[in-house]
Amino acid sequence: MSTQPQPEPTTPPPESGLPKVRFWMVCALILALALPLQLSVDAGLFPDVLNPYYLHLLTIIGMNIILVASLNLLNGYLGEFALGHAGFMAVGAYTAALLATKVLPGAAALPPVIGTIGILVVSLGGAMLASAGVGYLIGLVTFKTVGDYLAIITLGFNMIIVNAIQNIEFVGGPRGFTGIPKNTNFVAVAVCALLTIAVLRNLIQSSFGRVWVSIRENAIAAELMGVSIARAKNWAFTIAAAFAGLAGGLWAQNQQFITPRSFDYIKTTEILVMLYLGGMASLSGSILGVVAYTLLMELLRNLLSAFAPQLAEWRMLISPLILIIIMLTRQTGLLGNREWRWLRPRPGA
Amino acid sequence: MTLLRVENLAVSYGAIKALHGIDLTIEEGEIVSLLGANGAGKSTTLRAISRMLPLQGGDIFYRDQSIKHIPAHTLVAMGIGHVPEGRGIFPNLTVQENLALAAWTQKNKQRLAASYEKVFALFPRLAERLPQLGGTLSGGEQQMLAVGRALMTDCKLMLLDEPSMGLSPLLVKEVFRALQAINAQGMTILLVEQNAHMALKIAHRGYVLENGRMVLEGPAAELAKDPRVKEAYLGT
Repeated sequence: MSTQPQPEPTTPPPESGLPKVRFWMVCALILALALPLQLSVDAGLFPDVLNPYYLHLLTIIGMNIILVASLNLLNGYLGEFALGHAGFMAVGAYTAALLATKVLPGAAALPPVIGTIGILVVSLGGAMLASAGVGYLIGLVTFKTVGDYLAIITLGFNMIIVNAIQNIEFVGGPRGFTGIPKNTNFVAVAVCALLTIAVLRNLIQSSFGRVWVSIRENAIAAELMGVSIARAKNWAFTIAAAFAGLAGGLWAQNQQFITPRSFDYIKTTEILVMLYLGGMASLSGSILGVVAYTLLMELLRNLLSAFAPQLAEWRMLISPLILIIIMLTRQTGLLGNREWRWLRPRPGA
Repeated sequence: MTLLRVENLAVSYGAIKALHGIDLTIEEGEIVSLLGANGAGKSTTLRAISRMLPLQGGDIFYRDQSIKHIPAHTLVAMGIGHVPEGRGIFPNLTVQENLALAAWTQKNKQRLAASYEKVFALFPRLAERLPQLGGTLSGGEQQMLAVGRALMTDCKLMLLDEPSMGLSPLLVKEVFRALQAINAQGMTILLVEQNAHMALKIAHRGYVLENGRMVLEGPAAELAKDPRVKEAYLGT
């Protein structure tokens, strides 16, 4: 997969005086900061430093991390080229929107915070289940296809989903789904993103993950070791789709308005760009790719609209250009398949 | 007891017939060599037995049970291990992970530990290289890893495809000694080899394939003396 010489995973990390950062420490730090941050922005404290716009950016980054890390499971670890991730996201987004507006509005009678959290948890759970189901079916369909064929099938699936939603009047059709309550905030997104990273990290270090990597490395040898390729692939698709659905559910209840067009292959391409920018088969790469890309796009938006407002859309021309440049100059992405130390498995674990 | 019986096995790649109905039997505890020139159908035979290729005709019996319709990955749990041509190790996984992956089917912790011990006793070099990436091993070590990986699956019948490929004569001897040791512990081996001299030395019986047909079979010592084998594969 990688053309880079890789560091030997065993070399004991050089002893430094600093205490070693562990995964749970990073999680605890982010969780401890998230709630005060959200509350002080809501209360309008320090409007110069804690701008709602910055918090919005962080929320977007969190949702994108869920999307990119779950796609990494398919494109990085399993070594397939899936092109339909926004389709899974659409399934999750519409399921969550439907649950939140049509099925669960009665829960609004509950005390405010508990009611919102309840609706959020149930709608996100529903979104994950629905897209996991669709992912399972896609896994079945792509049973024996690899490479180009799998890419085309998943691309076709993405188009089917978008076109189907466009023709369902019940969910707004091409006009989009309006009036979704804003049940999400930065805290919810942060919790979901950390949960995603934690689950994926553990999966990848388990025998599940080894099986996926072995299929990428040598599918024939993997089968000769007793790995059922069809079943392992199906699991990967189901899990990746579930998390894409989670991101979709969060997205719908954050933007409060979704249209089918926002989940077409352009969205898939955006997720791919972030994934390849960061580096394949590396969760650190997924996080770094998302942060770098999102910040770059926002900077470009501000920079370009400072010259002329109509120039702002030209940043969409720059993102494919970034993909081309990565492929020409640094195919392994920013991080290759290396992990930051706090995301790596503990030796002997 | 007959461990494996191949009856009238025919395989083709598209319109090209690779095997025209061959017969082969392997008794428990034997080393059987399958000899033949390039393109004779040796690897095809192994791949057909481990169900990586669809059969066109004939049948394969493992412990008197037909395995014609059994998918490749479930054969591993039944006890057939296949060391593919070119070793097929996972280059970006460590030696430890390569072995752990092979134990995928093994749920019993005690037997798993025993399997590790067996592999390390046989190939102490692998124990030294546990944290190293598979792709950074030498050719001989990769072959040891491939054999070790098959051992980890706790197989009863090992199919070996050209274990001497690309190895120095010294390493070939080492690998073959290991195969004899494995056999002495009760493993049945079907060995496909270009190196007919070495293969017949350790085998009990042998078969010779030519253009997809079995042309000779017999005890290894007799085959080694057979003028046709001598001329075609051993040099005189």
